[in-house]
Amino acid sequence: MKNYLKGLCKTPMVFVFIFIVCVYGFGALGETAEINRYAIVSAIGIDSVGNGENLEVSFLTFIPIAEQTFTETYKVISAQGQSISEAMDYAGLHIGRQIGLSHVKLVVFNEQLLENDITRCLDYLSRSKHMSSSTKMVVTDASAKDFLKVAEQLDSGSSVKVSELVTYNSEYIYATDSSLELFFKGLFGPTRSSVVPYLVLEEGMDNGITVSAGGGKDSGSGGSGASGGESSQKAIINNGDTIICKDAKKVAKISGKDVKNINFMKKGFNSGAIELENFSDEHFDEANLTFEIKDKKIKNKVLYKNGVPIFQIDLTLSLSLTEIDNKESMIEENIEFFVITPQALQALEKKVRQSVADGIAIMREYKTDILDFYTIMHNTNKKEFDKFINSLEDKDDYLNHVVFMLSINLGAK
Amino acid sequence: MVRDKNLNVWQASILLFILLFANKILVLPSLLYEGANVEAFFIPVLLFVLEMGLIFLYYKIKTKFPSQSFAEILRARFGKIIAKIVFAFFMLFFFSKAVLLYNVTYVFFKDLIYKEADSFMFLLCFLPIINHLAFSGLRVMGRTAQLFFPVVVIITLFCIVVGIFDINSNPLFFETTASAWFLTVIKHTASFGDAIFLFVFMDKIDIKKGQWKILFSLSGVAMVLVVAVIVVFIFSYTYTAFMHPYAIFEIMAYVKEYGGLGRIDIISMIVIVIFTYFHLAIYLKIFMSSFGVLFGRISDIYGVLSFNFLFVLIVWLLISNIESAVFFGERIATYLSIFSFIIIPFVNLVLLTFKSNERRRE
Repeated sequence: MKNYLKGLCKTPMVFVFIFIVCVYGFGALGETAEINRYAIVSAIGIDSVGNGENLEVSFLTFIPIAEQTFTETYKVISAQGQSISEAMDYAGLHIGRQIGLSHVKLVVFNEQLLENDITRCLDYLSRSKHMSSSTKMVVTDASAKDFLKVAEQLDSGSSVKVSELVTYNSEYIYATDSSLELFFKGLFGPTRSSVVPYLVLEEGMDNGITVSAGGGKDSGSGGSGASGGESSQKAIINNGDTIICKDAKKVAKISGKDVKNINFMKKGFNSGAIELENFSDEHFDEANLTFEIKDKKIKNKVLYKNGVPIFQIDLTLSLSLTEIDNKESMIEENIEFFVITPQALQALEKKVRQSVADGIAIMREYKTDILDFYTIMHNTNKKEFDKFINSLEDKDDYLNHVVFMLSINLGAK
Repeated sequence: MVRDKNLNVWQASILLFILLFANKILVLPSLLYEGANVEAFFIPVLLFVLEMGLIFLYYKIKTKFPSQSFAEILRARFGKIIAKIVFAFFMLFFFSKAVLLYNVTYVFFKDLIYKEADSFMFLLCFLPIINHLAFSGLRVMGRTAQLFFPVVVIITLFCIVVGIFDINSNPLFFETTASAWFLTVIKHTASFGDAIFLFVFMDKIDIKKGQWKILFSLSGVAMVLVVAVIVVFIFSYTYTAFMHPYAIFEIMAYVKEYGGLGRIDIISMIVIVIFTYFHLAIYLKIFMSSFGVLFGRISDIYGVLSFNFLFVLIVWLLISNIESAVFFGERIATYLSIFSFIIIPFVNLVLLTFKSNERRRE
């Protein structure tokens, strides 16, 4: 024992350890537990109030209190202030806890707020070291507070589900990822354009998150997908509609179908479907065919002719027939051995060409280069591109002066 | 006074490897991007080429004066005063780097882990351990570094590889001007030049013929890894780098959030902690050795006490947030890089023109 203590005395780090335990260990025992000091926020909603001078900030909070069921601890609290931080201070006063932002998965903006520059609302969130940059942003037609109340009506993971819905959007349906990070990348990038998903809060629907099939109202939306709860009559509808922002201000609201058209030109987004309506050939008679995109390759090339950029897009699509709606008769051939006929290829090419043209037309109309053609043209030949941009009266209108050429190569997979 | 046992080439190379990461993988990449946009990643390449030149100078001096210490060489050729001035600069240069490094790490952990932690608590966590490590001698430090070396390499590589998979930006090239680029180089030169620590321990490093390749290879690998961290960060956070000041952590956070790999950002914190302990311990050891040269053969305890006193004073009184750390690094420490990249190479080039003692005796 004596030798052991002697050995211990020769190890100064032991004393350092004991000192730290004495100073901080006992000190920590006297402190209030963090669980009782923080309200854990999982979603934030921001609305403008008055003449737009003040902000109403709502928080979907999970207040960890013992002996309550999981779902009962969700509350929407809101406070007004001239800034987000002021509203947060007041919200903290209302519930007697600090607002913890580490678990925020979703930020909801009221559509009206986007009529003006929303960097006022985003500044605090961008500076907060505790907010994750993967937090999703969405815009809603109703007030953000109401949106959160509907989310609250759902089960305990409701807000997460809304953010997951948007993630699903970006990965599988419409390539519009909507994280704070990507919003800022678009805003501070050369095009100053960003996209944010638009979720509608609709009355008279089953309570819950409803996913509409198809894009936009005009393309026919059906109520499929997840739904939950029973009491409220409001539902969160995702049609894939998207708000395009330039300089952090709304410039257009486009339908999911438009986004789909634009996404034909987007690299790294390989899913989607192409529908052929009333198609007839040797196999089909006025059939509606749906082809799934299995693989997509895009090569871009920029040439300058007489100072004008010619943007060549080489699009290679591998398609697979996934659904046949043959009006006259049932198909006899096995779909797995189906070979796309030249007529079908021609019709598909026409359809894709039209979609791409529509996508470009939208970007031209709103002068928003959401696919960042700017960077590609700039990096290909900076000197020529600068000359081209400087020759324009309206430098934001460059897309209308670029010649787009599309080459499509379709194949079955 | 602790009699330092000599380091073998592996231990010296590993210490150099670790030191080459100092002040470069947290705040620096973001500052480089702010100053020079995407082309910022050429800056560490240029400065590392210069740093490799310093290592090459060390090689030349060491082969010319194999058994002498740098202080002895300077005393013999330039006199006592010049030797003391050079070692005073060593103290000042590495002390400034220690303050800067500690401050950035402190703010990083305070921001991301424990916002209620005070400076005293952090000092308590770092100072006793770095004092102990530096006091235990060079050999102990080298062997401990050998122990942690595989962990450091694997985690750093993991951070880089995982980060590479998540690069999806298409950055705008050729947007910076030559003047802005060079201004950024000058502003951040102080973050480089750590290789001159080899001169301080010149006589304590045993390098046999044929072993130089180990030193050059490991330092080369470290430089490639640092450049890789900076490149991955810049390409992951194009246009928003200014919002993400902690590079190696952010590239892991990015993957965590988008790649669905779960919470792996904590891994980068492990490597930051290991690096910080070693960096501070090496800086303290350099301070102690230089203190010995400056004030004669007095006990190392005075060197340690002086370092601790000045360190606590400056950390507590002058620097306590990221803004002042950046100001200190860009505006004040920059002038000290004249020592590492101009004075030391100049002194060495002059020394190379002298005949060595051995030859003179012959």
